[in-house]
Amino acid sequence: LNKVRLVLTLLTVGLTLGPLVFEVYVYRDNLTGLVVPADLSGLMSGDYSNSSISGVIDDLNKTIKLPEYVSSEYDPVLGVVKFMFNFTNPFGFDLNLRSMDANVACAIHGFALGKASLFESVNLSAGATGLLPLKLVFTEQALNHLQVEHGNAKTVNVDLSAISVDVSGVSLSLPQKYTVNDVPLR
Amino acid sequence: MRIVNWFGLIGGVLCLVLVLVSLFYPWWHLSAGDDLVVAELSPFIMKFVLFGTVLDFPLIGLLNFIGALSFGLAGAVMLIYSFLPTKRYSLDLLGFAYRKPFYSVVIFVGVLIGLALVVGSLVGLQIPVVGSVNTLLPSSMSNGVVIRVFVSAGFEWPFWLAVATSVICFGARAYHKIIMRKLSLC
Repeated sequence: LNKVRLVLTLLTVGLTLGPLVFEVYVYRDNLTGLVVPADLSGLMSGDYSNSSISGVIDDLNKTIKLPEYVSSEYDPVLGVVKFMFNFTNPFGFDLNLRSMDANVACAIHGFALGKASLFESVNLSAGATGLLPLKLVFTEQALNHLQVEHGNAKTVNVDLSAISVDVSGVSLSLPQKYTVNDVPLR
Repeated sequence: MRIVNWFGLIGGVLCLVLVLVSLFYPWWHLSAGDDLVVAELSPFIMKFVLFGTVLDFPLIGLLNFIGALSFGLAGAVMLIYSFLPTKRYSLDLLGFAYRKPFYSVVIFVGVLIGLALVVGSLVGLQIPVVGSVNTLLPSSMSNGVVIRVFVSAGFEWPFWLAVATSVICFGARAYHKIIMRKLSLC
């Protein structure tokens, strides 16, 4: 082994072992902390109360409540129903609700009335509650159904199914059926 | 007239530039959703952001630091060699330095592919090394709701700079042979 090689080898060993020994010395009382970050070590033991991502885990553990129906209005000229839903962002970070779609059907007869869609994206800051406006345009067949089967009724109950939501790049497809009562028809 | 290995000179400078650049720009970037989860990796720095919280892995940080020091040393040795290609210890200097960028690129890509495979088989999440996928969260993580997350990943320009540096460093080795042949003919 010549001198140059020896020097280079020693330099390599020094550069590798030096920081390693230093780091082990710094973490001598908590060697696990050297491998697993403090944030995750708590999670692994099931106690994440002192972890900086505990807030995130709390958020994830919360049950995300489905949007709550607030009101709806009907425009008989255009044959359009506008649903308003309340939604609370349970997370500690902002969400952008880009789209929301649902198939709408008559709750009594199961007749397909059309598809309701979010007509503008909604930004919800952390913990905030916002209104989600959904628009449903009745199809020709739906208008016929309402006239024939619900001719004298002032309201109709509808089922929202196959609900899909795109929130901050995450697509959710909900299996639950959601019933909205007393949607005005006049 | 001083003989200079120009490939070595450029390779050495690029090694040092690459270390500096990689402290600010990752070699590889992954994001899930609207940056809900972000991973920025290079052999010299690593950043994991989970829902806005930066996770710190001390051991990986240490390995990054050692990697940066070793790579910087290789660059410095390559620079010294490039001005002294005819010295009898020049091959020792060159031999120490010219393979390191190549090894870094190969190991880095290997680790990425390995991580993607491990995450895929252990957690059931499809993680792309390059490109984008709408990955489906395992049902165990989604409570019956079908959740798809848009995940995109790709190499950033410093990675291609590292590839170019590897090629140029191999060029320095080839050029060294040419220099030696010319000297033997004189």
